[in-house]
Amino acid sequence: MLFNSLEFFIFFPIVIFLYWLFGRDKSKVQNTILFIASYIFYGWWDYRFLSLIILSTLVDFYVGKAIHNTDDDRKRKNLLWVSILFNIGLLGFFKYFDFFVESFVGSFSFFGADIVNVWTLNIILPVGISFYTFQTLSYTLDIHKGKLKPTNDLLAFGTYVAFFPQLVAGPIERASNLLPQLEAIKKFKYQQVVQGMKLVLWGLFKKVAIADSLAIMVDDIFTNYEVYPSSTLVLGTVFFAFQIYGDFSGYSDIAIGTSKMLGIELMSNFKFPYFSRSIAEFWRRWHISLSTWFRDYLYIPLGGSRVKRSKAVRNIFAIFLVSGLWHGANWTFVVWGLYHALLFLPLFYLNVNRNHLENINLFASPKNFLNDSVKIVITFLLVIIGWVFFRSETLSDSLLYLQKMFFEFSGGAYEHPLGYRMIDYFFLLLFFICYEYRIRKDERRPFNFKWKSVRFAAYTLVVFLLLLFYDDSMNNRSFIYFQF
Amino acid sequence: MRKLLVKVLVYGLMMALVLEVLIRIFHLYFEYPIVTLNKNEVVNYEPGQSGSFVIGNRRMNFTEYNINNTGFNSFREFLPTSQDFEVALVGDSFIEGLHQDYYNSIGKKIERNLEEKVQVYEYGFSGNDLADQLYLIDQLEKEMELIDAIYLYLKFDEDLARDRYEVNTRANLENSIAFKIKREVKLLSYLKGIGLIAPIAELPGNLKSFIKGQKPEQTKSVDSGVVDKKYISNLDKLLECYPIDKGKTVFLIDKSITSESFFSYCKAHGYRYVDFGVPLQKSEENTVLKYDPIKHWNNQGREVLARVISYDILKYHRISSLDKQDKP
Repeated sequence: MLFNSLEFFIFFPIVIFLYWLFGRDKSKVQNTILFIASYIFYGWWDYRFLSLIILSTLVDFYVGKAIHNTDDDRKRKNLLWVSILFNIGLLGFFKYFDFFVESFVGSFSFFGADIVNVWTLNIILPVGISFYTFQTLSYTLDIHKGKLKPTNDLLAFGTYVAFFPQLVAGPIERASNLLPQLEAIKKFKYQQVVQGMKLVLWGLFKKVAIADSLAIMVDDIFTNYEVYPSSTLVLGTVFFAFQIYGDFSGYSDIAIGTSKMLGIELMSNFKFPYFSRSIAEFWRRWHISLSTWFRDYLYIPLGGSRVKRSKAVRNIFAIFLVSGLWHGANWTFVVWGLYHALLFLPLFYLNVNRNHLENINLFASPKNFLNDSVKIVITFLLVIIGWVFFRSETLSDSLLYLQKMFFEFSGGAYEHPLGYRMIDYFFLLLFFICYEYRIRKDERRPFNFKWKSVRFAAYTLVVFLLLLFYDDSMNNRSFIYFQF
Repeated sequence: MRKLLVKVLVYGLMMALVLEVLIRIFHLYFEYPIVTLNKNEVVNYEPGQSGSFVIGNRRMNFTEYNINNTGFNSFREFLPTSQDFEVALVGDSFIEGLHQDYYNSIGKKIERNLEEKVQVYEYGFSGNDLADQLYLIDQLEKEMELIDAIYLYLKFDEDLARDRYEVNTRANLENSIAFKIKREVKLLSYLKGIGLIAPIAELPGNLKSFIKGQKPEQTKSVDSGVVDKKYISNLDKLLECYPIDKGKTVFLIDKSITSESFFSYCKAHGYRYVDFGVPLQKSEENTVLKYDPIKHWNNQGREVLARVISYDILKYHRISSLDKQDKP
């Protein structure tokens, strides 16, 4: 079930109604409703894959308990490995098996040995597998570290793993944040529910008006990049930058918003990443739940930056490469990760990767404006080059795209085959950037205006733009991150 | 909870009101002329209407229409005489042309091509198939007798699905209260136009089939030979029921999407046809409207059609001093 589908618009009000009507002051009833709703939500795609979630839930629930109940370090470690191997194995089998087999065969072909009749799985990737395996894995890792006590409530844990607002595309929650909330009684708080509704509206705007409408142009440009002039290819990358941001952060906003309406707070996943003044800042603002996951469970265990320089560099490469590979079983994602590692490295060497922790304020002074604007533009340009790898079907496509964009300069106005007016999209993006700048202090309050009338005008404007840019042909278009 | 529900309702209503105003101010809504059933049981438009027709969420195509006293979208009244040379174009929305400015229609272009020596009457109505067209010609017998050339626009794979005329129910539907509300509330008309109402309207039906456990109908592969046979049989029955004047009636067809059996039928029965498909394909410029899902002809497309028809008129009818027309 998609957030931007009619089914969800029927499903969610029913869930909310039952949840607050029958679940008041009863945590078990609330969790039962959430649990059933989550399984219906996921099973709507393919009920067969529910077995994976059930398996993942049971394995980590009992392994978590077993780790906690023993003091034997070796046994604890072995149990942790059971959880790691199970979750990574699940991910590896469904997501990476074909990729590794094909890469292995490819490397043989490179040395002249052709292997024919290769056995690959050719199975569908279960939606959200990268998200919920990481979420359950963090549970056992935290218990092993002694940061978290295991829960005795299988229903709450099952709901934690399958919690429908964030099940298929995050934010990747930590048990320490979500599980206590699920175990407690959720109280109906008017302000929290209203904030949730506002976030849902803003998320829908980002998904439907920004991401889906730009997708029409992006799909055309990236598919036919060979025939377009370089100026159009630049436009394609800029549009893709906003498409993926609108798509993914829109999903996160809807996830956080719907959770708020259920009385549950999720972590923020995006903090206006395109206002970043360096790549390091970009990664503190983009897909925060994944970056912090890798930081806590990979980078720091490897020693982080508090080791020899050479090892620290290795750790940086490790985190970016794994992060790239996490996004998909394709070399384009690996190169995308590598590219970001190379951009991050100079900042690390110069010890400026922790700069820009404060929020941006372009209009504080003219000097500030000039300095920050230039940094933002440069960072954005570096990021969009990376997006070419991310969006292209194959590595050779991305290299040819970049080659054409940078070395075969040619101009010309872009005209979509269906004739969409570019000026409409220019004004849409201008509005979006200005609006995001206005709300940049708090990503969880997109309609944070003092006056009621201004707030109402903002809601109406957003709905109006949503209708203006809604495209029937994009109806029920899936979220990009579902494929990861 | 109650406070929330009341507020959502109030805000929703206020927002709908503002959106209604915005949609009216920017004229984003989709406006159709009012449909009526005339005394001859022919469905067409209520005479004397004018307005604008919009395609796309952001008014990507905006045109004016003018419904004449006969109930068709045209720049002129249809008053054939025995002295003048009149041409009738009979067809569906492609001939009706709500998607084009009425003063820049195919008919107007033909008249320009032929130096205003002919008058072109466009009997077009959205959704009309051959049964509707032949019935219309039959009902307008007196006028058609005075008209010198008739061009029947035919899409072989769409317009021959039935073998007899039945009154179009569109007029009744458009007189329903629900339809009138939709017409008056521009927000609803806009939402329908951008495709947001259809899934909601289809929901009860889908839900019913889901509960009953019915699966959506599978598309069966149909033998094209059988279909062709059926269509030719329908064509035969229709022409038997509503005979046409072979001397002045011509089928206007796109050869590339028309079955060979149609050409054999025409040859055997002495019907004439003119192909516009090849000239359209040869056109260097785009010939269809970009935003239009039905892909109606744009100005260039209509220009090509007008040239094809003008050439045919010159070739088969004696109109002096117009022999300089090039073959399209």
